[in-house]
Amino acid sequence: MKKIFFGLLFLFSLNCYSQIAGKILQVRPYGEQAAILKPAITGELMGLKEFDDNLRIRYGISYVSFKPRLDTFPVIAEYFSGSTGFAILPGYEVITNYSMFLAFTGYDYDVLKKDNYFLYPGADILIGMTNVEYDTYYQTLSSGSDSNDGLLAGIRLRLGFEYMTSETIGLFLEATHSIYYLPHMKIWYAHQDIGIGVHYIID
Amino acid sequence: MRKIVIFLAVAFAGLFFSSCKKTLSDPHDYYPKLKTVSATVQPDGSVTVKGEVISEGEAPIEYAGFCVDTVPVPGMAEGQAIVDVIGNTFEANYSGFDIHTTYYFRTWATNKYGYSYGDVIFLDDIEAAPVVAPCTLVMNTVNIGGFSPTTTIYMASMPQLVTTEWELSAQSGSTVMYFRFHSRPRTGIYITTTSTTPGDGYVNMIFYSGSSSGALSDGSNVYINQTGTDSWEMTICSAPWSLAEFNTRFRFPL
Repeated sequence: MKKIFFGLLFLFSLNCYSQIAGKILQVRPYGEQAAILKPAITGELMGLKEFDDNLRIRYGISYVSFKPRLDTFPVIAEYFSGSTGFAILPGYEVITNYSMFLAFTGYDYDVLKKDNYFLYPGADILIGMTNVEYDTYYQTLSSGSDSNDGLLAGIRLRLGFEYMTSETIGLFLEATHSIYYLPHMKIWYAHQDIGIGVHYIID
Repeated sequence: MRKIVIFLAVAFAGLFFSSCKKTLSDPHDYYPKLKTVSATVQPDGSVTVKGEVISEGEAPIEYAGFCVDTVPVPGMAEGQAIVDVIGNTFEANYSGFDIHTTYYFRTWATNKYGYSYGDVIFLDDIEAAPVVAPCTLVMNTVNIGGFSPTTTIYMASMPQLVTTEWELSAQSGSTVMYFRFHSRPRTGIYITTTSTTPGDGYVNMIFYSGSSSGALSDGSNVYINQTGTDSWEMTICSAPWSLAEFNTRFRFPL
């Protein structure tokens, strides 16, 4: 995972059109994930062009490491045996690692431009990987460690506001909603984030 | 392009603001919240346990039930009863308790996020109301009927699990009796059966007396009072067998 991360970072750094941006954001899991994961603070590094004919392209990467909301999560197993019949067995799950690597590319469209202010919606295509590691225990049935790695793909919708403090530096605030599909789990997940960033334009 | 972007912006706004309040601040709120309402001893010595769903959590209840054990915090799998929730209440009936033992009852329920427990209720000395036989016989005696004399029982064994049935025997100077129960005897009125694998609430009894032998016919009452953890009293009044009527009253073990 780290090799992929730094490899992509290197590629982007080679081809950033001399316009880069960094963003610090709080990622808030949504839906079922919100029950088990705390919001996480992370960063994004991206190439971000200037608006040209109301449009600009962006592409970048992000890595998120989530922490679980509980030390142990109560889980059950449905169990049937010929001698004892059907039973519900209690157990627990301990999440030891839950991380996500994302690469994205998309467009912003400035619907409102006034002086040095820009208001823009946008959308990205997401691809990435998840890595989940956990320990499980089911009374009288099983215990052990396992991991669940796989790819993800989805879209991210965005609303942003940017203020150019000078001809080369812009400060921006963005909120996004991401929806993505994990084929190995056959499930849709989502998260939201709010972040602030710096946009640096090198002529 | 402009229309697409505006559409995406509206979709984003809808998704973002409609979902802001869906994360519960306390992760335990995703799980059901339960109350163990009562555990009531019934006249037959069984216990009716009632539970209440205070909150389903963030998903519908999938399974609900009770657990019971002799340790203060019973786990879900111990003495597990899975029941239906009707409205927001559910109940189960337990039987087969030992006298002079404390039992702890607890509710549990699951939803798609996991499971949770209710509080624990305990009961001491779970004991059925004594049963009263309709005849008055001298203690520790047996009479197989006809012209046979009443004899004194001098030995009665402790009930023991033999393969799948609980068995005990009693012996007087002339008569040997063998009783077979489905489970460990407890206070109640049992019904005689000629089946050697009696169901719950039934008892099979055969005897040998001199040159006679027989088995109690189906359908007679056998009155048993459990007087202690390992002590009982049995009375049988005029129970028919093939030749006569059988009477006995004795304590066991003796």
